[in-house]
Amino acid sequence: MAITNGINIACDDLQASGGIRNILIRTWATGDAITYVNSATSHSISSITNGGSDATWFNYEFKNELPSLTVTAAKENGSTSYECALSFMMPEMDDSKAAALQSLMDTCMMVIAVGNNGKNYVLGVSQKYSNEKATLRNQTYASMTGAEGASGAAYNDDNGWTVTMGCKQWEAPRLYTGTINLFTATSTSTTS
Amino acid sequence: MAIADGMAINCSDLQAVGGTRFIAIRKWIDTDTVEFDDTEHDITFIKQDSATPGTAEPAEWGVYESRIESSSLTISATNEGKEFTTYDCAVSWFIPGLTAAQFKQLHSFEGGDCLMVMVIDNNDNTSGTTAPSASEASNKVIGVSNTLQNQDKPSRTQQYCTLRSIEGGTGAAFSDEIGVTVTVGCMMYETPRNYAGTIAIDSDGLGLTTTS
Repeated sequence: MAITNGINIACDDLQASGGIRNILIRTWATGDAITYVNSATSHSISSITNGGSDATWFNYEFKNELPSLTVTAAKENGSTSYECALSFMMPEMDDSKAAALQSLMDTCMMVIAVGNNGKNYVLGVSQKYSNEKATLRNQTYASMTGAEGASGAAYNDDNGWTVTMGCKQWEAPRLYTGTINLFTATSTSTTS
Repeated sequence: MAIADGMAINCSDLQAVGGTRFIAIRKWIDTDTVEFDDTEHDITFIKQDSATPGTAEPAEWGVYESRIESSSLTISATNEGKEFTTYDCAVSWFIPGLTAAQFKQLHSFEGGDCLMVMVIDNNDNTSGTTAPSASEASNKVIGVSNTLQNQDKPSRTQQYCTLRSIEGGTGAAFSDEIGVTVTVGCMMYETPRNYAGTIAIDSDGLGLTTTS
């Protein structure tokens, strides 16, 4: 793909805040439909739905200013891989947090991380080298790649779980440009 | 055949990516018709007989998915100073899971069947593009060749593919891989040909047909 566009950096780009505001996670499901946008100025997903209806996501809250998304790209021969990792900290290792971890263990997921800059980064949904006939069987889904629990030692130490969600894909993470309805129910959001 | 031209290597060649996108397998049928283009060194069509004798219809293949980045085609050519070069071709892929459904499917060609295999790689569009290509032009066919073959019927060529090995198991540790690596291969006397005809993949991605 030849280069057809450069890029500007505007004042508002320079004002972008760091950190993550919301984390939405869902399991890939039969009937999922993804609309990809590929152009010289957009590398995004304009809708994620299921069976013609809104797709349901689950909100994972966290301690502020701790979650972060990192993307590491590496090119070998003609293939460029993107290792994506989103980590967040759930304070207090209690029963419900352990149950949340259990639910993340053996399922193929997609993740939206809403940045404090208002951008929605999608992990685990990519088109490059995807299974063309069955989106569900795409093998670039997100997994829980790590979790670290710590009680701390001192009274003022953190007690909690740090969870890392990761995926390996062969394109840069896409931005979600469709509609996200946050908190349509308790701990639930939807995309359309 | 005189050598009239050499070979260029362009930037796009250097961006070629490894691995396979689809592995399609079918059993040779006695009434299969194959048309070779020896000028382009490709296959114009592979068809099978229809219910109406003498009328060819698209040949049906099964598409075998694998874990990504675990499948490969290898070609080893040797020439011992004779008029022909021997090409040992093998495609192998990893099937994770070790499930009953997978074994049932593997059982369908483990009886010494004569097979042909089409390997479609990831180079139908450049590495910078993202939308999957509608083309399956970047492919190689093994087990179908036109050099030193039985000239009467393509199906009686003795250069077909067979199942060579299935290796794998459960592993021992919880974190071990469970699954099998399947290898299908053949011995031919020419480089694998490109399938230049029409390839149509069905709606669930588990079958394809070839025609002209």
